[in-house]
Order: sequence, then C-alpha cells, then structure tokens
Amino acid sequence: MMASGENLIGITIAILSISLSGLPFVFSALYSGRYQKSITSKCSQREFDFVSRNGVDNLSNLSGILPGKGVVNSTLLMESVVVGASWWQSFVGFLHSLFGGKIDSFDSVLSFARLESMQRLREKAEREGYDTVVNMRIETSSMVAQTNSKSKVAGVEVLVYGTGIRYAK
Amino acid sequence: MQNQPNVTAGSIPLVNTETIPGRTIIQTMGVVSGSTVRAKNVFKDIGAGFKSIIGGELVAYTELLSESRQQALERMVADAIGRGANAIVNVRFATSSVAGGASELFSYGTAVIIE
Repeated sequence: MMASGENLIGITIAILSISLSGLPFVFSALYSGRYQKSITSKCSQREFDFVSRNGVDNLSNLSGILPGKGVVNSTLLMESVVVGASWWQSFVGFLHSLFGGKIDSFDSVLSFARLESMQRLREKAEREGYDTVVNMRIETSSMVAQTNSKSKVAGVEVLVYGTGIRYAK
Repeated sequence: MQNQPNVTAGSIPLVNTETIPGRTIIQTMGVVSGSTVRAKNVFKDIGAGFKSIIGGELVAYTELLSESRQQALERMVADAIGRGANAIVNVRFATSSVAGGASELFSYGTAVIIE
C-alpha cells in the first residue's frame, strides 16, 4: 500500500512538472505573435510620428552632405538592438526548416530589430542636436548559444551607425 | 542602451564618412583598430532566457554589446592618439562570434591629422 501511495505522489509530481514546464511554451505560442506585432506596430508608429513631425527623415546612406551647406559639427552616432526569437517562433522556424521555403517568424524578428534600431538612431540624432545622419550603415551579427551549454538563448544583433551632421544655421 | 555615451566626449572626432565635413585632412596616419571579446554573462543569460519565451528585445545583451563596443572604440582612439593623429575617418564595425558563446567586437578606421 505504501509503495502505491508513493507511486501516486511520484506520478502526480511528474504530471505537474511536465505540465508546468509546458506552460511557458503554451504561453509563448499564445502571446509571442501578438507581442511581436504590437512592438513592431508601436515602433512604426514612432517612426511615422517622427517623420511627420520633422517633415523629413533624418537618416540617409548618402556618402556625403548636400552641397552648399556649412557644417558646424560632425560625429559618429550608433545604436544597437539585440533581439531573440521566441520559443514558439524558434519551433515554427525549425518546422519550416525541415521543408525549406520562407520563414515568416524569423523575418518579423529581424525586421523589428532593424526598425527599432533605426528609430533609436533618429531619436538619438535629434536628442543630441544633429540635423541629419549621413553614410548610415546597418550591420547584423548573431550571438550564438554556447555549444556545450544547456542555455539555448541565441540573439541577433542589429547595429546601425552613421555620421551625425550639424549644419550652420 | 538608451543613452550610449558620446564617443567623441573628451577625445578626438570620429566619423564614418571619408572626409570630415568642413575640415581639411592634412595627412593620413594609417589604419587604426581596436577590438574586444566579450562572453555572455550567466546571470544575464537567465533573464534573457525568460525573455526569450515571448521574444522581442533582449535588453541585457543590448547593454552588454554597446558597452563592449564602446571599449573597442576607446582602444581604437588610444591607438590613433598614440600615432599622433587628431581624428579618425571612415570608421567601420565588424562583429564575429568566436567559439564558446563569446563574440568579438572590432572597430577600425583611418587615423588622420586635420587642420
């Protein structure tokens, strides 16, 4: 009788722990897509607000300034964002990678990172008083998870940098 | 990461264009570079692990990388000052991951003397 009682407790603990460890995954499946959409739309709203307030986008990847303007100050400005795919997105990505084709889940993660880092560079240039950013470059690099560690956290870093220009008034 | 310190603060001008607008380059002093290798922090890893359930930005890593990149820039600036330059043009960044979850942040540029 004692043994079966212990078994029962063991089985209960096992079921509980399995369902609890599955819980974050279910949470991820339910909310990560929604979260991704909300942060992306917030970011594009910020971009839209910024551009409509200033009338012009202050980022460009032209190699120099427009002729005929005096320059007071110029400096290097940079902003970076590290993002990671959610558990659900990684899982969907894994399924897709079995059959090939386009992987929308990773696509949205990367496009969010680019939007966000470019928007931060715009805001930084404005905050520090630069009129425009020229010669903007975008670099993407991956932070891979340690091969022999249990942690599977992998991130993608998007770095945006350029030269901030302050024109003579 | 919202407020990365200004890289020109207390040091020499850095730009990633080929010339410094409004200034004249007198002489080039060669390529200068600075690099730093950073490993991920276990404690930050835990936080990032929780965040990766839902995805989105991993703020701890953003901060880690921007601090490290700042250090790479400072080393590059120290190299340029050591050569007697007073500005760096055409600054570029490169990032590569080395084994074991560490990543190398590398910056390079051309040290110049401006008038």
